[in-house]
Amino acid sequence: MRSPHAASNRVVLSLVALAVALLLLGDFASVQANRIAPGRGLGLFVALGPAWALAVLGALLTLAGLALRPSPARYRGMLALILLLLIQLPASLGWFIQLHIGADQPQARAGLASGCWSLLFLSLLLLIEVRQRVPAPWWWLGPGGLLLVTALLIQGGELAALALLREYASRSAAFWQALRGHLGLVGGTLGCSLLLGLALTGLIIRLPRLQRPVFGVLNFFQTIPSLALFGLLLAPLSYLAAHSPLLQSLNVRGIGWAPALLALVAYSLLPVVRNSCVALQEVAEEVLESARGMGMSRWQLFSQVRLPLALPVILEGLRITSIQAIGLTAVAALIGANGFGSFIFQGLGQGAMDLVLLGALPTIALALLADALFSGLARYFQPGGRR
Amino acid sequence: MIELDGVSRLFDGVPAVEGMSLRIERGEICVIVGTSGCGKSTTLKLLNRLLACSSGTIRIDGQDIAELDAERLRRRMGYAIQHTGLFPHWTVARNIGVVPRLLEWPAPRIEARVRELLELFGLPYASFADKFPSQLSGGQAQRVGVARALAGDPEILLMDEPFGALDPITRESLQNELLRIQARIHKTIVFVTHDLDEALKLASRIVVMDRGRIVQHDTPSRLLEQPANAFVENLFGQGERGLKRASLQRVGACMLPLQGAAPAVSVGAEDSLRQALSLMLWHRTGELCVRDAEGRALGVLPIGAVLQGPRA
Amino acid sequence: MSRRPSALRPWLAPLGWLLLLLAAVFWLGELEALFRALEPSARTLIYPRASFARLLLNHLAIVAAAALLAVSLGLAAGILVTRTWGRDFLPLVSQVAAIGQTFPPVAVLALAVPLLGFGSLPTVFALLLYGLLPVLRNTLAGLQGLPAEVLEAARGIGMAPLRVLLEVELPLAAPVILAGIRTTLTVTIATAAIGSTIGASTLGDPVIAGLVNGNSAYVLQGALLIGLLAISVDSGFDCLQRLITVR
Repeated sequence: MRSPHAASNRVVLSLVALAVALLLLGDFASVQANRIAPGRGLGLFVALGPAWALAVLGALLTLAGLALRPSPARYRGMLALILLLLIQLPASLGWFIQLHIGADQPQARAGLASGCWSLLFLSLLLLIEVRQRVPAPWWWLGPGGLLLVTALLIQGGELAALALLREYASRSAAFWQALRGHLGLVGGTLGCSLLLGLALTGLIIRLPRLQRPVFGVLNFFQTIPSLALFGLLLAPLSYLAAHSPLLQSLNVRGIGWAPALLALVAYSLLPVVRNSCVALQEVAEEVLESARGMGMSRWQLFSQVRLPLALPVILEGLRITSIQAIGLTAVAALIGANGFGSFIFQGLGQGAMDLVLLGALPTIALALLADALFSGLARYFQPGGRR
Repeated sequence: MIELDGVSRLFDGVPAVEGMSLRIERGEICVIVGTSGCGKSTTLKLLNRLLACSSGTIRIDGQDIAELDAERLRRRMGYAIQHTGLFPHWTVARNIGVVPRLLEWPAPRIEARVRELLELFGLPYASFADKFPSQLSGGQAQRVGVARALAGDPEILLMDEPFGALDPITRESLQNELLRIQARIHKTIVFVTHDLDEALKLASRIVVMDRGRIVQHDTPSRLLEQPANAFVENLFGQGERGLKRASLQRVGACMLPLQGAAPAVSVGAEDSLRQALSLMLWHRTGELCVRDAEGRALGVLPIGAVLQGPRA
Repeated sequence: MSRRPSALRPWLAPLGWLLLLLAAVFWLGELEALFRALEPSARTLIYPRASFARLLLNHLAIVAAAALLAVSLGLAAGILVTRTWGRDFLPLVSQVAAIGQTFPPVAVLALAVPLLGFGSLPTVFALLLYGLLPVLRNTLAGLQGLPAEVLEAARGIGMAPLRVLLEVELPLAAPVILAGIRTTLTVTIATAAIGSTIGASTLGDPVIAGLVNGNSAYVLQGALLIGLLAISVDSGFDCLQRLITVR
């Protein structure tokens, strides 16, 4: 084992080198005269002016300098620099807009180019790396500050010329409707699959010989690509809807929310059932024995021993399910289910990349949020995790 | 011959082995004992360079091992460890043959060697060669582990608590087997254990370690008779020291010539004085008849001779 | 050798699915009457713009290119960061692999367009990026999950590092790595179908065209073929995995 402070941190050095190279070689941001005109990319120094550009590069080089002979104090210094880099990012965009887009150009829009994206991604990677080397409970100030500054600048109108926001401005009602649709479908999926999944789990635990066939079927669903499953549901559902007034009144058709929900629940069952089965079946035998030995009833055994021990694993299943459902809901826009996917596919159809971003970024954000939410819950319910 | 000269090893600046100097003669079983974390396993790994020395030198037959190629060095030394480290995806035969294959022996010679070793450890080739490690019992797996360590015909055998995970009965039979085999092959064996009875039984010399340093390096009986300090005395069980020493001494070395009728209760000449004492206590007698393996009476063992110990 | 008589049996299921897929590719066009029942009013009933065989080959080519690259890169990265000299990068790489898998595949696909434009290339690129993660994750899990004493024994016996990797680490980690490759293939096949929306010609074409034109016969044809392809490949992999983890 090498002592932790002897060698330079090669990971930070490589990430910084990559960031500097990408910033110098690629465009930082771009300007479009209007929605249809081709964008004009600007390098870091032109985009932000020499002072701001040098400050960014200086911060990166200082980071590299600290990484040459790291120590806990220097790691905290690096972390502080990374936080600054993240927080300045939205501000630099505001500055860029002020420099390059005059108030007399209401149609002009600013886009993020490779330099800006790489700076964002590499700063986040640096944050992940440095956070592991030194305990610093304030690391979240970086992403938190980034979001806060962005929100403040949007509120103040400084970023209004950003292409993404121009797209949003022209369809803000549709955006919130898409969010509601997306969340509704994902929430419905989670609810249905949790109910159905737990029922199936109970059945499997009572009748273990059902385990193989049930998992066989659920695994089979997972194998079928989403587009194929949506397509296969179309014909039978339209047939059913055509012959059932009840279904018609519920707005069930071959396309729309019904096939989407059916398919999403089919996909979601496997993670839910698998995790709850594993969790409930694999509680250590001696734990159960000692609980029975103490005179616990079946219900007490379930509610006080099995369930609390199984909960984190079940939540992990829900985490996988929700991430999967968020992605698939976007695909379901192809069969007319409401959600951010409709922006993605509209944008792709019109060749409007900013509209694609308006759909793709919130989808990713939702997935990351679900991930954070459920892993946080799982940690909270982990035995000994509540602190 | 293995020589350690002022060897130290630090982990994150904390010494695990410190200023260790030691000479292990050819053909002896040197057992390193000590409480867990005393640096005994580290010492073993320094010998085959799984770990590098922070300072000091280790020489084998006068040659500094730091100057040798680490992999070649390891192929010259057998290495057997507690959980066997058998490769689970290979058959027993392939596991045993791995070092000969690394040494690029011709295939027929490897097969002959595997056959020889399996027979040596009492594992019939026909029924064991094609088994996988998961199909072996703990004792069998450990035998295969030791056989693998011996396969390349190394001069030196390093053993890191090889019998530590076995039940007492299997452990004892493997210890006996090791002594039997060692009597035929005369390897230099460095053996690490925390089981003191095992150390006393196997060792020609014992190294007692505490907090990275050698406390005493001596023969088993001298360790019992003249412990260097309170730590060694404690380690070898103050109260039971007499019994421990008795278990090192053979009945044959203490018996007196037979005069008159043989006593009713018999003991083997190869048994230990400890076993003889136990028989006396159990049968409430002060005298045993000493017989050889064929049951012929060789002499008599009165309690007085036991108290006196082996005659010079 | 005694396994000989049953050696073919595990392959029956994937073989059956494969035959079904091929039958669908070549004879789906003959079933016009059946599709007429579904879409009585449509002018054309069989997807006209390309033959199903052509689409299947395209689909396979895109999947193969992406999966091959993803597997080799993921495997290489997983091996590199578990060697002594690459271990500095291990925490970052394993965290990125974990976080990356929360990104929805459609979003990754969509984001490849601003970078590379429309067509097969961005599809392959997005699939590669996304397919990398399961392989990488499972390679890391497989290599790090090996029993420490086996590795110690391998080194203690005098095996050179490359030999330890090739003869001990990779064979022992193979089942886990293979499971990762299987996930990669499943995701890749599914996402390649959606690649139709960014201009790659795949089996997704009939589905998309059918949805756009309101022709459910096209949709059904595409969906059937995609489903059969995915199931054939997956069940083939299932056999492979079972053969390897026989012990």
